Amino acid sequence: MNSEWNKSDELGRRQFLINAARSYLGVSVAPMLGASLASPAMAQAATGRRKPAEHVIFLNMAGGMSHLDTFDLKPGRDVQGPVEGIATSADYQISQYLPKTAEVANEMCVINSMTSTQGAHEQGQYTLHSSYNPRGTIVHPSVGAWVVRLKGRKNETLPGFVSVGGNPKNATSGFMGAQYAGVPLGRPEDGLKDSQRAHTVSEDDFDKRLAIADALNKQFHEKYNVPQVKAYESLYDEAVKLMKSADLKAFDINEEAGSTRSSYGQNRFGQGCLLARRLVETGVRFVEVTLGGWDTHYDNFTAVEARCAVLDQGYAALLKDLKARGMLENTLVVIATEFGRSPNIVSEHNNGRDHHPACFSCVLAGGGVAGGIKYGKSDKNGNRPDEDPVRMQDLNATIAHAMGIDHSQVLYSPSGRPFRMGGAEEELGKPVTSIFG
Amino acid sequence: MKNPNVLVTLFFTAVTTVWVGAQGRTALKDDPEYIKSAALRIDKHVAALYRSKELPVPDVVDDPTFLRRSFLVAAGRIPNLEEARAFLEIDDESKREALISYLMKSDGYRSHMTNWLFDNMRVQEEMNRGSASPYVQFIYEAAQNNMPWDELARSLVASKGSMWEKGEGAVGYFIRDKGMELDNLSNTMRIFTGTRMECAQCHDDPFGEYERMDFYHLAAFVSNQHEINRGPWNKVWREVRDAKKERDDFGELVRWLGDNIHYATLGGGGRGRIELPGDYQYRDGDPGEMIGGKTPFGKRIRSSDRKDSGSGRMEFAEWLASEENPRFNATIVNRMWERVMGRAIWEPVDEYVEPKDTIAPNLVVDLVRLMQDLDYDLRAFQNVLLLTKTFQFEANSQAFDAGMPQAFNGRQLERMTAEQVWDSMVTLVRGDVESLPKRKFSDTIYYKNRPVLQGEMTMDQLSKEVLAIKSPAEYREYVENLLYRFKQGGGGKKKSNDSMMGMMSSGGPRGPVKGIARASELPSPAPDGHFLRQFGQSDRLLLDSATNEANMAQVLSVMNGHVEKMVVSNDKAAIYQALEAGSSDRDKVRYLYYAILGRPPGDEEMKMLMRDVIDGSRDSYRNLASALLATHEFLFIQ
Repeated sequence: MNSEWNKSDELGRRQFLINAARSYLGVSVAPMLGASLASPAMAQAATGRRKPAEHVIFLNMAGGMSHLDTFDLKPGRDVQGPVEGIATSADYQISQYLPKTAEVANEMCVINSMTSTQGAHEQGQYTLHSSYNPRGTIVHPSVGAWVVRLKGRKNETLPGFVSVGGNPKNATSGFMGAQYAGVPLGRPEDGLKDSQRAHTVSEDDFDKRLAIADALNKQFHEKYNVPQVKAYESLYDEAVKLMKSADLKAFDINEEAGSTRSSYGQNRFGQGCLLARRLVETGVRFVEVTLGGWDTHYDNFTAVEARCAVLDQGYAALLKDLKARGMLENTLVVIATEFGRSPNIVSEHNNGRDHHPACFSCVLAGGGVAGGIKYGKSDKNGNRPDEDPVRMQDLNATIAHAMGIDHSQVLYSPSGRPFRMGGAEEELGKPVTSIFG
Repeated sequence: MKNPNVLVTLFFTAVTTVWVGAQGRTALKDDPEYIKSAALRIDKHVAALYRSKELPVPDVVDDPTFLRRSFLVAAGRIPNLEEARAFLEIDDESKREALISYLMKSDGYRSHMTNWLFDNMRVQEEMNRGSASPYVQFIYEAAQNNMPWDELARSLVASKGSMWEKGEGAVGYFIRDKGMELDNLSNTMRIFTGTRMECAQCHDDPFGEYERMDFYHLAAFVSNQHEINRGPWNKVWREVRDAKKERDDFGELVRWLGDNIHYATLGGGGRGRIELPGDYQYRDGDPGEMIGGKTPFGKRIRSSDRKDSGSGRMEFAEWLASEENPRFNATIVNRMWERVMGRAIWEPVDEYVEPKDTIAPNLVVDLVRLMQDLDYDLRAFQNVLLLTKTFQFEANSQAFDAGMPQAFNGRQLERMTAEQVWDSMVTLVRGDVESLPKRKFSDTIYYKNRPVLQGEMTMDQLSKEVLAIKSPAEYREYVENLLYRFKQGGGGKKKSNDSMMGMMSSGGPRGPVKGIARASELPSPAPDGHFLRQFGQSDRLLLDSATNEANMAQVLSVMNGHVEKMVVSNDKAAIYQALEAGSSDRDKVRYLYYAILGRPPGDEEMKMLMRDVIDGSRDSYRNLASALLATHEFLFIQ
């Protein structure tokens, strides 16, 4: 078979062409994948003397994290319910449910003046991730895809954007194409499943199969010149590159010491945070980790306490670990959510809290953000922002700013429509620059 | 492998059974002649549309494309080798029609519809910390019994009582969204009437048609959702907590009853009036003001703001699923069109457009009439669409331009849904997918994942007894007694007559299947990281969460994961029957193509494969199978 294979002119030539195309592809795609669209001058202008951040770890609290029971306490007010504040390493208090986070508050900038008009999960998550409201005619790229597209990849063999858990739609690259989409991982401990050749296939057969598939694809590609098909075409090339990557072990958290693993918490979110650290360490630009279950309409305090226990351990361990490795300075860690929860406690729902988009909290740390500070303020009951409101578009513009990316740079969809990381022109986000040290 | 001539019967028996069985019946949905004439009528509308818009009429697809498309659209999977041969190797004018009959009668149709309903009704195995089994069962059986769409809508929206009561699983529709009455209502409006009101929950929507007041008038009908008789439980649970005995046997059982029995109830029938919220911000009402129910379109229904109606959900359900509700009717028609034709007549499907403002006003009006004539029978309706020439139009090979009427621009090439990919994989492995294991339901009491009191008490009975308890003292006594019976009666232990109990319709194990089974029979949703999730299955938490976008995990799974392990390297996989079916290498290649792509290889392909790939060895066929599965053609519906 082998010798016959070598003799076979057509496929042999095809194999050669594929190999050539692969190496060629690396070159031709490099200006998009590899290099940064943001000019150094621009990065300098955006960040001043500060060196721009290299990575983002985006912790998505899906379901709507209660601001009043986490980072925006209202001691003594009826709206507070049973939650008490505790002292932190900064000069503000946070919830008793977050004792480990309190220790790293000196690294954190808490924003308690987040505001949005999207009171439904789907829309809220969409705007949080894309700076746009959902529209029937286009899928807007997620912030992770924007970062990879505008900043370029750092590690050429690994994906630029990885998404651990959560709704697959949050990892979309929209009109940008599949190479910018988040690679979805189910369980962190599984790493990137199937990234190695199965033991049932020899290397030789593996290459043959790819070559045959490639030959057989030709006709189909000629017939259907559409983006959905092209997406798969580019992914096969990426996947082969990835399989050969020396950095593949970044996906394997089993390489970590048991003590490190347990310090993050033996749950999906905690292990996801650990995986995120490994990935950014190896050059992945943007990692999103989702912690769901924040939709606490029913029995809010029991549920928030349980969610916080998971968040607290994973988040605090992540910041400490990044700090210890000297990576916090170039890694922006974001805690974000689609909306907050109503100051009103609904007794009929076993003390639940409803959706509250008008005012909520998010937290930034690392990546040049000054620690131990707060930005913005909510009113006395956490109903609305009182000072310095921050919209989703502003948050994404701030992420861009940290990375030295221009959030107002226009990219065009294939149909010629203009889009920006910071949102549509009329509601373009403004980066919160004053929080950077 | 059977002779193709014998296989003809595979499809044609399906046709004759329907037709003979239909004799003497009057319902239009059961009359094949009516179904056929309706298909013709639709084609006439479409033809008129192409003429008036001066659009190029697409060609009709060839047999292999029709075969694969029909299987995926109607039964949610690719054809197996036997089915592909039966269709491709006979020459009969009516074989396309026969194929559609075969598919619409198949269990595949049922399974495929189940996935669709699970997505739309956001079916998950658990609610809060309790089992959602009766709700899963209700939706599953709605697909199985082809429950008419209007009946399904009414059953869900007017439901009440205990979810464990026999036949009351529908109430899970509200219980799954406990504490989120308003979100639940927004979803109801979106699914059934194609109306987006979620913005109006909090504020007047500058882009939407409805104001916050309109939304609250509607919410009045479904307001005041509460549990049945939670009082005694609350008191007993407080005692348990105060004594810090949550983890005692007693405390654990109390909590379990709270999660599984009390949580699974919905008292009352809908108040019919509602207080405006504390942050109500417009001039037409004050915070805390009581307002009555008022429907925003269709027939005008009102309820009083002075007294509770007690049957608000029933009134709302009647209004919602009425022949006179234009949005209810048009929306289901459009959703079914999308399901069969690939694109909806207007998009998105959950943003209603008046028929006169759609690209095809006459078609929409006629489709609505058809839906009503068929008594909202979704199978019969889809059957009509599948018999049209329009369904047979070729896919458009170009990306659609913005502004073109997408529904009538040729079918758009679409990647299979996650469920279609998985079910196709299952077909490749097992061939005869109809015989694979199915989900099981039972009203056995499961405590700590073990069946207890089998043959003595069901969940229904337990629920009735617990909900009838009047005082905390009585509740405590009941729990003590129950605990004793659980321990005595095999709680935590399997009884020796388990298997016998399993034979009884009301007993035995319940729940989804693990391993190789159709997607509808696996946990809903599949666990994180499962093949189904990699390919974009919905998390069934929010509406419309499924995606068919490409990602790296899918490609790796095809090359090195499930596809390799389940299919390619599995010598027992059904696709390798192709190697026995064919006597020559060329035949073997052809049958492998049938089993995977549902078509014969092209001349060029065959030439290349015979020259460069196939040397008669098992390995060479394995390589071919792997390559065919890695082609993009495999993942797409043409």
